[in-house]
Amino acid sequence: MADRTSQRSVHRALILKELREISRDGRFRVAGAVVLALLLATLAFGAREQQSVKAERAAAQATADDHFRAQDEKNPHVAAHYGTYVFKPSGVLAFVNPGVDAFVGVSLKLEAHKRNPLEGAKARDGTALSRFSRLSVAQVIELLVPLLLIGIGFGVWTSERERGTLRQLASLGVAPRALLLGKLLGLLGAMALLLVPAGLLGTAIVALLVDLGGPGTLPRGLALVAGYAVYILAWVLLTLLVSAHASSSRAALVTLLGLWVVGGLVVPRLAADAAVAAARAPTSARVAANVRESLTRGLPGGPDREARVSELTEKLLERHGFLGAETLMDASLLSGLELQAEAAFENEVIDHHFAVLARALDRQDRFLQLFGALSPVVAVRSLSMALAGTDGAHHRHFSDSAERHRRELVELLNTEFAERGGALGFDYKAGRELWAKAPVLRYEQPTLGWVLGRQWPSVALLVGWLVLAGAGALRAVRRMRVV
Amino acid sequence: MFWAVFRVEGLSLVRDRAVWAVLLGFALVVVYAALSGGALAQAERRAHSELLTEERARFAALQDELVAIERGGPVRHLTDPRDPHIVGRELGRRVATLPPGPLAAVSVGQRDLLPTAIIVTTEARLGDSGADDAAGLARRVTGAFDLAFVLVFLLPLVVIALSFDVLSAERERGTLALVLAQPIRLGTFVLAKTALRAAVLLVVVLAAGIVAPLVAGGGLSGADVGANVLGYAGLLVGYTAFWFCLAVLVNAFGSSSSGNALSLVGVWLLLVVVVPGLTSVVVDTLHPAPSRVELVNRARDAAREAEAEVSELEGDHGAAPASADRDVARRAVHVQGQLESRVEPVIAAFHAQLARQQALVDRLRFLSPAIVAFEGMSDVSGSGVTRHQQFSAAVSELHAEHKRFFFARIEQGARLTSADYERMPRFERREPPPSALLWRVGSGLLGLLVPAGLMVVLSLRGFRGLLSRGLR
Amino acid sequence: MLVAESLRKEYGEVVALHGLELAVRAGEVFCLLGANGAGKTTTIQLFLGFIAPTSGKATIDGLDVAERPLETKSRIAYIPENVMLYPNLTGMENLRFFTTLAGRGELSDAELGEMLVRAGLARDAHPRRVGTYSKGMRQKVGIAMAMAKRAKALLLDEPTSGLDPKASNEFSGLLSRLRDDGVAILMATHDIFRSKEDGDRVGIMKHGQLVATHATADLSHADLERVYLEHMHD
Repeated sequence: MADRTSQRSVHRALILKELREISRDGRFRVAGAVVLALLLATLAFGAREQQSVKAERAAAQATADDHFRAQDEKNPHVAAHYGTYVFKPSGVLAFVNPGVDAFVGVSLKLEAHKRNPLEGAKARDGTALSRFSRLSVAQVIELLVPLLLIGIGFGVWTSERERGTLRQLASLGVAPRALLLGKLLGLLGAMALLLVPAGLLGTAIVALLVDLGGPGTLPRGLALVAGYAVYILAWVLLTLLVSAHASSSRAALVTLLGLWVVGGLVVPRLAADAAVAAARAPTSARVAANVRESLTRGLPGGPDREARVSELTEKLLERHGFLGAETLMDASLLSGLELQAEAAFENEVIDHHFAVLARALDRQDRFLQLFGALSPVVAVRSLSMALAGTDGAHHRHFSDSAERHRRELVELLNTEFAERGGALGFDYKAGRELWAKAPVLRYEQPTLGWVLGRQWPSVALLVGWLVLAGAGALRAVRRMRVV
Repeated sequence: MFWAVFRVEGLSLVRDRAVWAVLLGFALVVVYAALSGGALAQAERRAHSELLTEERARFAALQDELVAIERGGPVRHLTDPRDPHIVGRELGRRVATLPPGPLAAVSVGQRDLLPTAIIVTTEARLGDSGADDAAGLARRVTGAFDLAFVLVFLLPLVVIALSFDVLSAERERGTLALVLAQPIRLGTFVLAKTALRAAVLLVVVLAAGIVAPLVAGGGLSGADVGANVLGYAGLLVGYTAFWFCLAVLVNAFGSSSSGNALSLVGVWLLLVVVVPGLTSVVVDTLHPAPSRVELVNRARDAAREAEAEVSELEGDHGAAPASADRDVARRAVHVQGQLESRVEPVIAAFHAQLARQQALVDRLRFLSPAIVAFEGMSDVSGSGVTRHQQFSAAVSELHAEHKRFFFARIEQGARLTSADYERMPRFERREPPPSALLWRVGSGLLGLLVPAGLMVVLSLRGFRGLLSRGLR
Repeated sequence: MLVAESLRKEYGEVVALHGLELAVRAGEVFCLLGANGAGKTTTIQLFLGFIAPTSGKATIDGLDVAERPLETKSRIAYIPENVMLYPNLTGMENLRFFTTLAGRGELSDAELGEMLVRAGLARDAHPRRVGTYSKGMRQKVGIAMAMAKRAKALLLDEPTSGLDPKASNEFSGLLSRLRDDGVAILMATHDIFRSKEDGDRVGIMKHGQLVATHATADLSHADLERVYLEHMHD
C-alpha cells in the first residue's frame, strides 16, 4: 500500500517537473502564445466567414425560390426550362476545416433535360495567393501544433542525457516506464494548455453562434475532437520515440523536423498528385461530352435515343391504359407523357455517366487514404474534412441530392402538364398555385456512420500510428543508453 | 584564403553521407515534380489540339456543305450552314486556347482553376465554366506537386538543412578557436563555407530545375524560351541566396545548432506559410471579390423577362423549329442583348476587383520572398493571373466581334456565303513582350536580393559582436 | 615578443584581469600557473584577439592585437587544451587546411608529412580521418600546425592536461625544439612539474593578477610547489 502511494508520488513529481520545465521554457512561451493566438484567430475568423456564407446562401436560396414562385402563367414544361437555382448550404463544422469548399461550385441551375455542374468556385475569383494554403483551425492543429511539439520535445531525453541528469535519475532506480509516463503527460499537459481553450471556444461557437444544424453535428464534432486527440497523442509519442532513440539533441531535432517536412508537406501533395494520376477520373468536360453524345446516340451498347424513348413512352402509355390508343388521348397528356419518357431516358444516360465518374472518384479517394500509412497528416486530414462535411464525397452527396430534387421538380411539372393540360397541348398554361407546389430542397448531411464507412482506412491508419508510436516509444525508452 | 576554406568545406561535404542523401533526395523530388508538371502541360496541349482539330474539321464540313447547297444539294434545316443564327450560336463556335508556356512544367499556377480553352458563340458569356471539375479536385485542394511547390516550399528547407549549423557546428566541435587563431576574418570564413554549400545546391537546382521541366513540358519549341528561362534562373538563384543569407544571419547570433534550426524553421513558417496566408486575408478584406452567389440572383433578377423569353423559346417543343423562323432568331438576339447589357456590369466588377487584387498583391509580394518566388514562377511558366486576364480580355474581344458579325446578318435576314466564311472572326492570341516579363520578374528579384544583401551586412556586424563576446 | 601592458579585462562587474604586465622574449618559455578562474585563459584569449581588452594592450612583435588582428595572428600559433579538428578530414588534410589559412601557401604532401613526423605523428596515421585519432594525436597535429606556420610565438592553454605521461613527455620535447628555434612560448598550465622542466620563467596568477614571477633555474621542484601553495593560501 505504502509502495503504491510512493509510486504515485514519484509519478506526480515526474509530471510536475516536466510541466515546470516546459512552461518555464522561453521558446514554449513565445511559440505557444503564437500558436494559441493563431488557433483562436482562425476559429473566430472561420466562424465569422461561415456565418456570412450561411446567411448569404440562405438569402440567395429564398430569392431563387421566390423567383420560381413568382413566374407568370406559362406552360409547366416551359417553367421546367426556366428552372430554379439551388445553393449549397455550408456544413456546421466547416469553420474547423474548410476543405474543398473554396475549390468547388456553390450554385447550380436545375432545369429540364440537363444536369448542370455546380458553378462559382471562390478560388477562381482570387489571385495566385489563394494557392498558399489559407490558415484554418485544421491547418494549425495538423501542422503547427506538431511543429511546436517538436520544438519543445526534441530534447526531452537527449538533453537529460547531455546534462547528465538522466544518470542520476537512473541511479535513483526510477523505472523507465515511470519516466516515459512523466514525459508523456508533461508534453500532453503543455498541449492541453493550448488546445483546451481553443476547444472550449470552438464548442462555444458551435453552441452560440451557429445553430446546431441537425442531430448530426454533435456526433461529428465529438468524432472530430477524438480524431485530433489521437493525432496529437501520436505526435507526442513519436517525438518521445525519436528523442529517446537519437544520439544527440541535434540529431533528434533534425530527424523530427525531417519527419515533419516529409509527413506534413511532401506526402500530402504527393498523395493527391499520385491519386489523381493513378485513379484517372473523367473531367467534367468529358462527362458532359459523353452525356451529350449518349443523349443523341443512346448509351453505349444500348438502343439509340429514338428507340429507347419510344420504348419508355410505350411503358408509360401502358400504365395509363392508352397503349395503341394514342389518337384518343388529349394532346397534353401525350406530350406530357412523351416529355416524361424523354426525361426518364435522359436520367438513365446521366446516371450511367455520373456513376462512372463516382466510381473513379471513390477509387481515387481510397487510394489517397492509403497514403495515410506514410503520414498521419494525410489520415487525419482526410478524416477531418469528411467529419467537417467538406470533402469531395460530401460535395458529390450534395450534388446528387440536388439532382434528385431536379428530377422531382421536373416530374411534378411534366405530370401536371400531362394531367391538367387537356386538349390545349403546349398552349396550356399553369399559374402560381402550381409554382407554389414546387418542392423546396432540404439538404441533410449524411450520418456519421456514412462518413466512417468511407473513412475507415484513415481511422485505422491513424490508430495504427498511435499504437506503433506508443510501442516504439516504450521500447526505445527501455533500451535507452543512460550515458 | 576564401578558396582554401571553399575547398576544405567541399571535401567535408563530399564525405558527409547525410549531405548526399539530402541532395539526391531533393534532385529526385525536383525531377518527379517536373515530370508531373510536364505531364499536365502535355495533357493540356493534347486537349487543345483536339479542340482545334475539331474546329478545323467542323468548318471544313460546313463549307463543303455550303458549296453543295449552292450547287443545288438538299438543305437540312437544323444544320443549315447558311443560317447565321444556327452557325453563330452552335455550328460556327470558335475555340480560343491559352497554350501552356515553354516552362509550363514549372508551375500549374492558376491553370487548374481558370479555363485555358474557351468556346465562343454568340451566346452570352456569363463567366466561363469548365475548370470546376471533380477529377482533379483532390490535387487542386492540396495543391499540385509541381516545381513551384518544390522550389518555393522545400528548397528553403534544404538550404536550412545544409546551413543551419554552418558556424554553430564549428563552435560546438571546437574547431572555430583554431580557425580564428589564423589570420582570417570570421566573416570571410563563414561566407566561404556558405558559398560552397550554395554552389553545390545551385548546381543541383539549376541543372535539374531547368532541364527537367524544359524536357518534360515539351516547351522547347516555344518562341520566347530565352527570356523565360533567364527570368526563371534568376529567381532560383535569388531565392536560394535569400535563404542562405538568412541562415548566415541566424548563425551570426551565436545560438546553438538546435536553436538555429528551430529559429530558421520558425522564420520559414512565418515567411512561407503565415505571411502569405495573412496577405491573402488582407487582399480579400481590402478588395473583396463580389459574390458569385449574389451574381446568380442578380443576373436572374435583372434579366428576368429576358430569360423567361429565352426559356419560352427553348421549352416550347410544340412550336416549329426555331431556326426556321427568322423572327424567332431576331427575338433571341434581342433577348440576349438585354440579358447581357444587365449582367455585364456585374461581370465587369469581377474583373475590375481581380485586377485591383492583383495590383495589391504585386505590391505586397515584397513582404515575403515566397510570394515573390511563387508569383515569378507562375509568370515565367505562363500560368499567372496576368496572362490569364489578357487571355480573357482577348476572348471577350473575339466574342464581341463574333456577335457583331452574326447579329448584323441576322438583323438583315441575310444568308451566309462562302465569302462570309472567309471573313468570320477567329481567335488571335497576343502574348505580352518578353520585356514585360523580364521587368516583372526583375523587380521581384530585387525583392529577394535587397533583403539578402541587407542580411549579409547585418551578419558581418553580428560576427563582430560575436567576437567581442568571446568564443568560449 | 609577447608583451602585455596594463592589460585589463572586465566582464560587467567582474574584473578578470587587473592591469597585467608581462613580456615573453623570443626563445623563452613562460609558464602561467594559477587556480581555475585566475585569469590565465583570459590572458591567452586577449593575445589571440578572441576578446577585446577593457584597457591596456597586448602586443605581438610590437603590433597591437586589438588594432591589427590579422597581422598578429599570422605571427602566432595556438594550441588549446583540446585541439579540435575536422573529423571528416584526414590529419594531412587538416594540416593543409590550417597552414593555407595561416597564409603559408600550398605545401606539398611531402613537406606536410615531414612536419607531422617531426611533431611525432606516425606516418600510417597521416591518411586516416581525424575522427579516429586520440587526444594525444590531435595535439601533435596542433604542434605540426605551429611548426608549419613558422610562428614567432606560441600560445598554449593547458595543452598537456589529460595526456598520459609518455605523451606529455614527448610534448615537452617538441616545445624545447621550438624554443631552440627562437619561438616565444606562453603556456597556461596546472602542472608544476612540467613548468619547472619546460619553463624558463613561471608566473603565478591569482584573482586576475600576476602575483609572482620566478626564473625556474633558481628553484627546485619542491621550492616551486611551496611558493605556489603559499600564494594560494591567505
